Amino acid sequence: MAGGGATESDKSGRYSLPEPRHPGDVQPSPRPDQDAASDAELLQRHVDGDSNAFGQLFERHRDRLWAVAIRTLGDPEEAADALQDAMIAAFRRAASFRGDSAVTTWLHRIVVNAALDRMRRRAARPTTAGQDDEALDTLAVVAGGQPLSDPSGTTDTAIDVMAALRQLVPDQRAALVLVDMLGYSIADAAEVLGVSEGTVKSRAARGRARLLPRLAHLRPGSVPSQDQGNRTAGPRVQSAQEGGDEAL
Amino acid sequence: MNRHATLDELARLGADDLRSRKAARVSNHLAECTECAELNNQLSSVPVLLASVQFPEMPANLAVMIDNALAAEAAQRVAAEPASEAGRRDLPVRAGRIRARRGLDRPRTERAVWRLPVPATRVLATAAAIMVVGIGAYAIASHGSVSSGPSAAAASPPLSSQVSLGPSVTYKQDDSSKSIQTVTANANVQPATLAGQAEAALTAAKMEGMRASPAKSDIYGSSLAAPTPTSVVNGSSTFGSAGTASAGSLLGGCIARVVPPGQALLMVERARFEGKPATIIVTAPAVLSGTSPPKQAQIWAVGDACSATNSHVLDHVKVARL
Repeated sequence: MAGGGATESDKSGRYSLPEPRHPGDVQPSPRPDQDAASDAELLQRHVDGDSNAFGQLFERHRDRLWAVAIRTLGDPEEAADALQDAMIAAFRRAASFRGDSAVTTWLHRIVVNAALDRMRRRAARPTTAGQDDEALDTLAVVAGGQPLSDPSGTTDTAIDVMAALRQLVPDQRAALVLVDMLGYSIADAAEVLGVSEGTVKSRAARGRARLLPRLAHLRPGSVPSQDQGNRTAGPRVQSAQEGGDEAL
Repeated sequence: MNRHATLDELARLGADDLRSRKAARVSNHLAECTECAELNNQLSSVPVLLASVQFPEMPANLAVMIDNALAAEAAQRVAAEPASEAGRRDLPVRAGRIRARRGLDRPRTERAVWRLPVPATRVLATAAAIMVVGIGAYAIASHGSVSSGPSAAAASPPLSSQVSLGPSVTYKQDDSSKSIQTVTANANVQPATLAGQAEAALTAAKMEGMRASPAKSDIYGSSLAAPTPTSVVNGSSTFGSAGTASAGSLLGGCIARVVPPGQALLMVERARFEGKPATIIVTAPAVLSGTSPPKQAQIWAVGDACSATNSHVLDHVKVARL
């Protein structure tokens, strides 16, 4: 693995992936049984035949990888499947890792791709509204640990946000998950997604524009209804949602 | 810029995705137009809203499942290599459990991709196991009989077990009656490789479809149905059909005596231990959905005298996880 020295930080010395925004949500807990080997060393050990090395690597990063999967897919079941598929794929393809990026970036990319594959397959399949409702119900129960009507509204917000994100095309959604939800820099997100920074900016911008009419009712002081959201944002929002620049 | 800015233009301005000249025009318009400024303000709240959403933590049992799936991959990788090479490697310390329940408390409606790797994995693993057994047979034929001494076993332990499924055995644990399907292997287990050989057998047994279930009538030692005789592989010991009921009863009592409370039985394997008939018992902590992954799986090698009143433990090891 050429360039295997890249581990937590890239060649410029900065961390390639930022700390999570919600410490209680995705922050990895310290695991005293891990040795001090770098990610690249663990991956190399795995390639060399150490049957425990990849498991250590997964244990080290699993919380962040899960955070990406659950936010991209919104469905805990789907996220679990995607994460497992991704880890098995990474296990098998480890020898092809060239070291051009940090190991964490490489792992994130595989997870994102697994999630995107699932989203695209799901989009290509005829689905019933009930399936989405079921996924959102599961998310609500698992996320809040409370019934849907929790007074704090935290769960309702999560449901509304995930429902809105589902309306985006997968590429826009993945960009928003990385940049807005997980706080990755544009450069990091571009590396994970394997596209240029300009593409990430464009996808994120268009995704935000399409989300606004669906989320406007969640802004502080607004009445929680989709109609209100559309009125608040005004007719230009709806036009942009339908046709983008050409509508104006 | 006389017209209002579009939402897309505002979003691209915020994302630094407009060319400088157009960005300047939109910015100038924003400074003069309160309507567009309000829309831009709304737009800027979207990332804040997205960042504020809380999501569930990774389920503890999912981490265990993926750990096990990775361990199964590792076991297959070892099994796919020549036995002499694999013998120098670290043995896998965790057994595959790809299809265990995830425990997310709702029925699945779609599992397409989840299933996809499993048949392929099974085919590959079976092919790998056959290959390794073939290589092992060739090695035995080429080098004469295999010594049962520890040094010979350590040099080339039988990492991949050829197992066959046997009848179920009932046992009592935590005031309930349970059953598990036994497996029979051709392995001559050695103390130095007990953990690795047991895990390889466990992986092979699961691929063969070994099941554990509540007690049924067609179980080992049941008086309601005559059990199917266990197939004998390469002369390994088995209880056989004669005396099955008493042997099954002895084994059930042995399991109940040996396995401590809180441990879930993963495998009961009839094999040989240092050349003598023995039973390998593998357990792991019963709770898979707790806050921490299960640790300290345990493996016993017990002799044929093991029963409800006599443990007859030949060897006992603990492994970090399974």
